[in-house]
Amino acid sequence: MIRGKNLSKVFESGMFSKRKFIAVDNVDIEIKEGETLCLIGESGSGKSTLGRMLLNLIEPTNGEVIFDNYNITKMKQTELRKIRRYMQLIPQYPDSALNPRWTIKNSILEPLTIHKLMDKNNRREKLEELIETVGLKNEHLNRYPHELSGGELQRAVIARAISLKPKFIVCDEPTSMLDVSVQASIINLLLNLQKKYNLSYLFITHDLEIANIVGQRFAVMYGGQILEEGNKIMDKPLHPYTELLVKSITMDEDIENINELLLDKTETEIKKSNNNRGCKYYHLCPYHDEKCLKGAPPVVEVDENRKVRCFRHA
Amino acid sequence: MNNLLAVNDLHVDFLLGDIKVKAVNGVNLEIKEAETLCLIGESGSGKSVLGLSILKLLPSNVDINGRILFNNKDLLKLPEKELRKIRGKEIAWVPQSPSTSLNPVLKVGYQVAEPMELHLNMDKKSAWSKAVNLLNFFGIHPADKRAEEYPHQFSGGMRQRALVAMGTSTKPKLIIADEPTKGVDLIKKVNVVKLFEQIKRNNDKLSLLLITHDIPFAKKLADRVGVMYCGQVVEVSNAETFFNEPLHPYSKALIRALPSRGLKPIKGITPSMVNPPKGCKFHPRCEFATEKCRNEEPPFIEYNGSFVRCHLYD
Repeated sequence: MIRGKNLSKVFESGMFSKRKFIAVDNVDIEIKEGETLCLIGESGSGKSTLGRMLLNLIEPTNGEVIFDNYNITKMKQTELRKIRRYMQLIPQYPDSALNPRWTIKNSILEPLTIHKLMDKNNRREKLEELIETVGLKNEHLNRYPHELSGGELQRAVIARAISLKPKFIVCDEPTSMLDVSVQASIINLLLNLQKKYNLSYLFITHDLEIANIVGQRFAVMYGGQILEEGNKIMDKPLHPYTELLVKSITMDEDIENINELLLDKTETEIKKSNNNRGCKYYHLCPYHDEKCLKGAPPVVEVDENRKVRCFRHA
Repeated sequence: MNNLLAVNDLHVDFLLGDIKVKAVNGVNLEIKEAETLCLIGESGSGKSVLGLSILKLLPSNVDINGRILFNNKDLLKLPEKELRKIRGKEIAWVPQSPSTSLNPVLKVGYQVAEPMELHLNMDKKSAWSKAVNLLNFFGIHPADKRAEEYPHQFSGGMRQRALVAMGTSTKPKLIIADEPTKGVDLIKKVNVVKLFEQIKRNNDKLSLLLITHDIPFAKKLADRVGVMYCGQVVEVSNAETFFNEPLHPYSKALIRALPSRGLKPIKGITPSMVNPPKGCKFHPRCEFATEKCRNEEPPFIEYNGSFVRCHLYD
């Protein structure tokens, strides 16, 4: 369905002496039809940047995105617009994703207006179908975003995203701002929609328990790289970072040492080790040795469905 | 053990023109010495307002009635001058968003030292060196240099630690922390847990009131758990009881909505605070609701060592 090849994004700042920040570093990613790939990582690991690059909302510095056999990185704007309707984004903050001066109705219908997919006659019909699918009521339609709760807003955003019958949706931490009970209903809604329309999801999250429920395949991101990829990585983590993540679900006591490591490192130190040629995870890894600093660790294919970027499995 | 803080029949009403919103509606809550009480509830349930009203930090269009006994003194009756001696000295407040709660134009060290100058009559120099010690204790290294920096040079986690350092600087008897894990990643959340464990180890008489909607986080730290719904405390139980066999139907539903316990959404919607339902506030969403629940507000009663507001236990 969608494939990213050698994707990189380097943000540059400063006018004369350019400071570079590598947000995404040479990532290969593939999502099949009807599949959910969960992208797991901490804030700042580059997971949102990667998601937005797949949608061509951020232009990649390097690499290409292939969607349904079209190379969308090389496409002209006019052609790209025709394809855009098949790929959508559900953003993290529903309250800033909707125009505060528009009613919910206008926001949901905007994509249909832009793509000229409705006329006066079927407008009502389309709208009713959409809000019924996402579980909103008629009374919500003429309200403004500030009059809706977080869960209702997220439903409106989802209605807008599915209005064009997309094939691929990037869900960028869709429930991280919601309460537990609302989170459960939004996750269920997303799963039902996937079944109904055979959608492919890139589900970006830092919550491993949610990832476990929605995802078939997982990719763990750190410092702009995918450290581990495959199915069932939660049951048997191979990379030390995945191991730490899995332990942190239960807030295990074992991870105490690593935390003290974290506390001791200042930001600059971490940045420095991020810029070294070796493993990005070096400064936190309990198993690190000299080898890890000298060169980048290889990507090892452990079996058909598992890839890990670590010397220990080479 | 003695009650450090006892809230008796507290009502907080926001006066908005002709409308009166009952943000806190008849709350009874006790915090013992050296106890950690977690106050759980969805956004809008009034838990932050309850926390703020203990410190009387609410806007002027608010009507507070009831009694808040702290060390047998009624905080609501104290004049502002007396209250200032308690606020920040005996009761510390750790606010919700570390990024907006520090003054951006003052050095972090100065901000941590300020409460000590004010409340402990320390001179500038010794307060500063104490502040450096505190920053060091909470893992901000090198503390003497970091104290000279401004909040924007700190990462989010460091700002939060600075705020906690500020809160603990005057050796308070009670710390109220509002959503300390909001928007914090999984691994860093473990750090927040460690942070609070560290404070408690440092001062074994300290009581904590943690306001949160993060249930796994509460599970890690709580001695007792209070559940708020629609401006009322509906259950107060020992942590063990709450996480295994909660009493109130709402608590049961909350636990079931957790990803690890089934991800079952709570049916229905959160009631509006302007027009709360008659009788039991939870009855429209409750699976056990009877005629009595619809008409009669249940009393807050003791049941097997817990407190619960539900007709099932009358």
